Amino acid sequence: MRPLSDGDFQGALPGALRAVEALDSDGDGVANLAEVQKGTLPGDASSLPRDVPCGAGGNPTYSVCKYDRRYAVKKLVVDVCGGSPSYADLEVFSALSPAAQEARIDEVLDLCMATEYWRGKNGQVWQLGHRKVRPVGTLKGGPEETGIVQLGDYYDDYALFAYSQLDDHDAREVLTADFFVTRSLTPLTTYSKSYLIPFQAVDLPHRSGNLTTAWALAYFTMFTALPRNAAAQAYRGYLGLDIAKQEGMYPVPNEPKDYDAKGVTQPLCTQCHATLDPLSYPFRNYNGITGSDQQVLRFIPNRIETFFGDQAPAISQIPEEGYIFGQKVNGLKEWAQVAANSDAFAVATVGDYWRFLMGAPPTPEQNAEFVGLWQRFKTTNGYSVRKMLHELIKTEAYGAP
Amino acid sequence: MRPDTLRLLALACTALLAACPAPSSTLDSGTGGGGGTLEDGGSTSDFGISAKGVVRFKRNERLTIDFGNALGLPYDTLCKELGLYSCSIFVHPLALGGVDPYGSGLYEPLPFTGVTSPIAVDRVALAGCSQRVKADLETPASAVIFKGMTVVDGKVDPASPAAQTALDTLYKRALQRPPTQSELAHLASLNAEIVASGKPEPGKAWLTLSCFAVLTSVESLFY
Repeated sequence: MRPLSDGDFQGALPGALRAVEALDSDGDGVANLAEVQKGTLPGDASSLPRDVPCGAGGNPTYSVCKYDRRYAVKKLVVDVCGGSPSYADLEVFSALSPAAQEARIDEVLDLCMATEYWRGKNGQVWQLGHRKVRPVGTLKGGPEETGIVQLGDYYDDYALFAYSQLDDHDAREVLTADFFVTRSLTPLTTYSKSYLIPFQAVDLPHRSGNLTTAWALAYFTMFTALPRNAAAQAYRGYLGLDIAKQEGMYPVPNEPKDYDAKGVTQPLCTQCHATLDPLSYPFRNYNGITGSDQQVLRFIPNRIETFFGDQAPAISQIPEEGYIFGQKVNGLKEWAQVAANSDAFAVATVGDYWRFLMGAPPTPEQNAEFVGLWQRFKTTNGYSVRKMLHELIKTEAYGAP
Repeated sequence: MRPDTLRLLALACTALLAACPAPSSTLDSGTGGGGGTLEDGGSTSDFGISAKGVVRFKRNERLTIDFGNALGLPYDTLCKELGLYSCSIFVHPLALGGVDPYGSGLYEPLPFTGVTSPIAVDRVALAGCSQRVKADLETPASAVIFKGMTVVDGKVDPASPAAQTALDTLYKRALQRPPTQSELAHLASLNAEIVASGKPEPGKAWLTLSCFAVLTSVESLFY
């Protein structure tokens, strides 16, 4: 339990930070403030800024610390096509004018994004979906790699995720789509919209992308009355906010109500559940695997009353209205709209590709480029991952050896 | 990892090569072209130090593609445990930085290379190089790297034009640059050590280990 209220904590925090700015808490010779600004740990003496003069001494083969097009194109082909370019190709590239090299880098990105390595099953985009889909081989349904206990075909979730990331589609559709996506090999993988596919049973008016697929309902909601896990996983997977790590906390006044009598009104629990429970209410009518074959994996009006009415005295009072980012929403489709339009979604989506291409989150020195990327992803780039990537590979962060 | 992965890698390569300009005469007329070559006689201490560059391990899929392309071997035969299972895709993917999302819930690669990573890299590189050398020596007409090699008393002359050309080809295919004189000298001294050891077929061993040395270099494994 925190000794201070949220308000007292927030009010006192700036002063407390100012008081320790000039100290060197870990005794490594660098002040706390300087360490925070450089992205190192002020409480770890082995973590301190590397203030190396960048590029001093020159280099005959690389434009050290500046955008180097030959370095960038080679890295790009390895990252997105999966293998190094040939020596001959690099020689041809080197002979181009700077303007032609710039154009060639863009062409190479588009060519690589058309490969199976990028867009195919188990390709690089597909792999970015692992943390969101959280597959379990033994529980897989569907015709491919069928598991022992067939709960749902999560390849449908991967297909929608990949669709949303490719071909200038709107990345937000991963949360908001009222359609499904089929995958075909012709011979390269293509993804197509479909409004009716096997084993997906949520009716069209209630579909909300990967939040309401058969796999999401079977695996994240499963038998639970109030699907806290489904909400928390969506928050973590698509918005990059892990409630278990106290991320994305927007406590709603007078919450949690503890409709299902789980004891979450205890002080230690409320710090998370004041955010999590209102976040979960809009999932109340999406059924996991409770009930008959005709009831599972569907939107069931009055689902709580139908299946869980005897679990707690007030359980049927769970509302369909909830909150996300402190904003009231009337149901899951509105929840998904708010989520998809949020800065958190843009940061998480661009962050996925940043980590994929850089190997690490943005450093303090790279933050301005990163912020510009996710802000333009929301605006001028219209949530197109392809357009965002064309900008990302032109950043100094990516192309400076 | 699934069988699809090998198909995916094969298609990735096909598409890439189809997309890129055809090899031209620049292949043989280049002068190094700024491809990361240390000038002979230079010292790395004179070089600018980068505070920005990021160096990353290629991981299992990219290593499979790069080793396969460098050696001109299909990805699914590059290295096989028990003669059946791909070393880099099926047997040692995690040691090589891969993931196992469906079986063990490992959604992202480990953030570090493990103690078995070098062993797995060595295994794949040695298996591939052994195949390449064997095929090139036994069927010279279709040799990919070690063309026209003359083996006398089991030995290969590292100063011969054929050997020099082979090493040049090896470097260009594996590291996308020609070798430096100091690198060629190091490989020549490797030959001398192998010959001095008295082991059988020193020429074949030298070609194999030269290939192995290049493929397992930092420059080859990281990018």
